[in-house]
Amino acid sequence: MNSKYSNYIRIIAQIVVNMLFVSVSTWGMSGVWIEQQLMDRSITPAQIEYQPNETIPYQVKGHFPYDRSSALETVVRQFMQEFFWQDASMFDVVIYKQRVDTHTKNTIVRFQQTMKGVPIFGSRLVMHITKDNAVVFMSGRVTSTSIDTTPTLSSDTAMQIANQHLNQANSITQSPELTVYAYEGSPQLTWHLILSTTKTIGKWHYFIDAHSGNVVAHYNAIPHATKHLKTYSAASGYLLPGTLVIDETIDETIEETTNPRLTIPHQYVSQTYDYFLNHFGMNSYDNQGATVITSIMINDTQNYVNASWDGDQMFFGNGGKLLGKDVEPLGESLDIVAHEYCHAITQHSAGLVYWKETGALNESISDVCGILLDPHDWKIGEDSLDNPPLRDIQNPNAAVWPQPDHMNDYVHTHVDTGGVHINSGIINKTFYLVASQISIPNAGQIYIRALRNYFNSTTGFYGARLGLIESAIDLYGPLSSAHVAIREAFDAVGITNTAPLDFDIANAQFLPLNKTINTSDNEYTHTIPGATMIKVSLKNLSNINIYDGIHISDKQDVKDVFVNGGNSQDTYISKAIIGDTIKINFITSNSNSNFIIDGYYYTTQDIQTSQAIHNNAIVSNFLIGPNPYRINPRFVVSGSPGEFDHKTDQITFQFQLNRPASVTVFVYDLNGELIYKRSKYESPGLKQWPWNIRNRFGEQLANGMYQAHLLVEDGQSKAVLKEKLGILR
Amino acid sequence: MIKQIILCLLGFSVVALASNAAVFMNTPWDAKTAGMGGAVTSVYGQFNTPSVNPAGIYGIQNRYASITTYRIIDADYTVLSFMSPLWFQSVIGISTVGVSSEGAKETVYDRNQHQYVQTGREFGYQGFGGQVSFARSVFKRDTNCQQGIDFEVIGGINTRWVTESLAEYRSSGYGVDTGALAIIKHNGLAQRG
Repeated sequence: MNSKYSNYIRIIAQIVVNMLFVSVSTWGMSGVWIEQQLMDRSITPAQIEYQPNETIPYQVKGHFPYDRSSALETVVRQFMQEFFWQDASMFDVVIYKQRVDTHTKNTIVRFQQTMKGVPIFGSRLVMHITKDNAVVFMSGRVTSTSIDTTPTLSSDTAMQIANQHLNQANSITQSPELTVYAYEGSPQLTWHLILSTTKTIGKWHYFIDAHSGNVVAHYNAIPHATKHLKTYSAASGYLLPGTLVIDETIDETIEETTNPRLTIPHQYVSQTYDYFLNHFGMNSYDNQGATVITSIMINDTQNYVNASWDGDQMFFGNGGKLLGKDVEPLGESLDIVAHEYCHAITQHSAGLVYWKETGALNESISDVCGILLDPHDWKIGEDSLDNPPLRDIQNPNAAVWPQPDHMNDYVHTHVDTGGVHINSGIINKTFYLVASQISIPNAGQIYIRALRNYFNSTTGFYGARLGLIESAIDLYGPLSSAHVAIREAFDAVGITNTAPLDFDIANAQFLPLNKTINTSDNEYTHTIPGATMIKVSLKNLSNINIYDGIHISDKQDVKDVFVNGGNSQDTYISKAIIGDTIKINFITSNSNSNFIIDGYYYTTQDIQTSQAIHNNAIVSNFLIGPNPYRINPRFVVSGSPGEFDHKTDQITFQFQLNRPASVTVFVYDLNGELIYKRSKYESPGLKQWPWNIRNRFGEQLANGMYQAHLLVEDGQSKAVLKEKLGILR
Repeated sequence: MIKQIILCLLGFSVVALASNAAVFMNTPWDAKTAGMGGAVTSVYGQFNTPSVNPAGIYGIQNRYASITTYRIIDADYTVLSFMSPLWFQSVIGISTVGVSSEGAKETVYDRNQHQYVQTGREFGYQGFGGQVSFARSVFKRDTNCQQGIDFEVIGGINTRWVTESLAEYRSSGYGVDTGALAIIKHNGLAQRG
C-alpha cells in the first residue's frame, strides 16, 4: 500500500481512537449517564443530588410519569430499571412499607433493592409517587454493581464465626440470611446473622463474608432510650445541676421526691418534650436524643426571678419579688418551661446568635414555643406573674417590661445583649397576627419549621420574614392564606425590605373621573391600566356619617384601606395592582347619599421596584437559566464546590406567576424568526418550564443570541416580559 | 503519534468554530431583505440581494454606496455596501455588516433555592462580517427585439468571512455560496425564476 495512503488511514484510525477515548471518558461515569437520562425524561426540571464521593445519584426530584393503570410496585420497578440498572434479571425491588402522605396525597413507598433475590443491605430507598403514577421523588443509595450471589461458605460456619467473634456463650442466634452487604464500599456477599445476648442486653448484627468467612461488619442494634429527662434540685443557680431527684426514661421514671416544686416543672419538661416529639418529630431538643437536664431552685431564702438555658441545661429560679410584685416559681409556668426548652432547640438548629436582632428573634421563637404549649391566652409566664404578665405577644406594650411592637419603636441599646428581651416584642407581634389568621398550631408549624430549616445564626428580622415566607409556602403553598398572613404581619410591624413608599403626588398623574356615586350602589369598580399606586380623590362627603367607611381594596394584595367618612374632600391611598381592578365598597348607614370620585392620581414610574415590593404584577422575575447556556458544566453560585449546573441539553424558563393566567413563551432568533412557542394555562407560583433547545421541527438550535418573550394574560390584564438567551455549544 | 492526536483535536476545533459562524451566514445583510423575510431570491438588479442570492446584484446600472442601520428583536444592524457594474457583463459588490445585541442577564442554578438566580452580570453578542459578491451573465440568447423569447442565465458567488462573540467566547468562519437567476423576456416582459 502506498505510504501516503497508509498515513491517511493511520490518521483516520487515530481519529476513531480519539473519539472512542472521548466517549469512554464521558460515558464511563455512569452517574453522568443516569443524570442525563433523568434530566431528559423529567417533564419538570429534574433536581439531582449526590452523596459525597459518590457517582450514582442519591436523590432525584422531578416528574416522571408512568402508566396510570400500573401497580405501585411496577412503577417503582420501571423507574429503577429505566435509570439505574439495565439488567432486569439481576436487580429487583421489594416494597416493604407504603403510606399516603396526607399533605401531598402522594404515596410514600419504601422498598428494598435485591440482587438475584438477595436483599442488599444498605440499599433501602424511598420513593414518592403521585396518584397519577408519576414518580416525583426518590432517595437512597442504589447498588448498580452486580456480584455472584452463590455462597461458598455454609451458614452454619458463618454462625460459628459470629459466635466466636462475639464471645458470649449465652447468645441466641436467629437464622442466617444471605445478604449483599453494600452499606459501604464495594458490594460483598455475606451471611447476615442476628445474635441476641442475655447476659448484657444486646442485639448484634453480623455480616460474615459468604466466601472467605471474614467478619465484614457488626453492630449492636439495641436502640438507646431516646427520652431521657433528668431533673435536679438545686440550692442556687451557681452549683448546677444539684441533686438528681427525678430520672425519667421511656421505660421507667425514678422519682426521689414528691415535692410539687420539683415534680410540676419536671412534668412540664416532659410535656414539652412530648409536644415537640409529636408535632415536629423531634427526638429531644437536638433531635439526637439528648438527655434533658433541668435544675429547679427550691431555696426559699433567696430571690431568683429568672429561668435560663445555659447551653447544657435548663434552670428555673424560685421566684420572689419583681417590681414589688410576687413572682411564683418560674418552673411552674408551662410556657416558661417551653420557652427555655426552645432555646435549646434554637441552639441546636439555627443557632441564632444571642445579640441584637438575632438574639431578639431567638427570644421571640422561645415565646412562640411558650404560646404553642400554653395556647389559652397570648401571655407568657402568667402563672408566675400576671397583671401585667412577663410578656404579652398580643400587646407587647402591656408586659411588665413593655416591649415595642413595631420597627418604628425598635430600641437600639447595648444593655440586655442588644435588647433581645425588648425588641423580641416586634416578632412576637407578628406571631400573634399570623396565629390570629391561621390558628396557633398552624402558625407554630411555620415558625418552628423556619427555625429548623431556614434560619441561620445571623438571621435578623428581615431574614426571619424571608424564612417564614419560605416555610409558609412549603406548608401551604404560594399566595396561600398562611403566606399572605406572614407577609401582612411583617408589613404591619414594619419589617420590609425598603422604606415605606410615599406617594409622590407632585409626580403623579391625575386621571379625572368625576363619577357620582350613590351609596345604595354598595360598590363601584374601576380598572386603571399601568398604575402602580393610586390615590383616590373623593368629594362631597358631607352626607357620609362619621362612622361610615369607604373601603378601597385591590383584588390581589388583600391590602384594604378602611377609612372613616369625612365632611370635606379627602384622598385615600391604595396600593394598587398594575392594570387591575380597584374596588370601592361603601359601608354606610345612609343608603341613599351621593359623593363624587373626583379621579385618580396614579404613577407608573419605577414599575420594577413596585413589583418587587408589592408583588402585584401578574407575572414577575422572568429569567432564563442557565444563561448563557453552555454544553460544558458550570459551577453554581451556591452549593458545594464541584456541583454542576447542568449537563444536558435543557434550559428553563422561570417566572413567578401571581395569578392564574394563560402563559405563552416565544423564542425568536436575531433575524426575528419564531423558533419556539409553548402555551399553557398556569396556576400561581414559581414556574419552571424546561425546553430542550430545539426548534419547532425538533432541530437543535445553533449557537448565538436569542430572545424569549413571555406573554401572560388573565382576561383583565396582560404583561409581556423579554429576556435574551445566549447559546454556546 | 502525539503530534497526530493534537492535529486531530485541532481539526475538530476548527470544524466547531466554523459551525458557530454558520448561523450568522444566514443573517440578512440589509433592512429590505430582512423586512421581506428573505423573499428576494429572484429579485435582480438591486444591490440589497446578495446575502440571499449573489446573482441578484446583476443588472445594476450604476455604482451604489449605502449605509443602512436597522433593528430586529433588540439587535442593532449596521450595513455598509458598495456595488459597481464591471465591463464584461458582470457586477461586483463589497459589503460589511455589524450586529450587536447586548443586555442578556447571566443566570446560574442555585441548589439551595432550587431555582435559577441572576448573578448580576450581563453579556452580549457582537458579530461582524465582510463579503465580496460577484455576478455575471453566463448564458444569453437575444432576439434583438424581434418576435421570440430572450433568455439569460446569471451566475453569482459570495465569499464571506464572519466573526462572532458571545459572552467570553469568540468564533470565526469563512463561507462561499453561489446562486443563479434565469431571466426570460417575451415581447419585452421579463419573467424571472
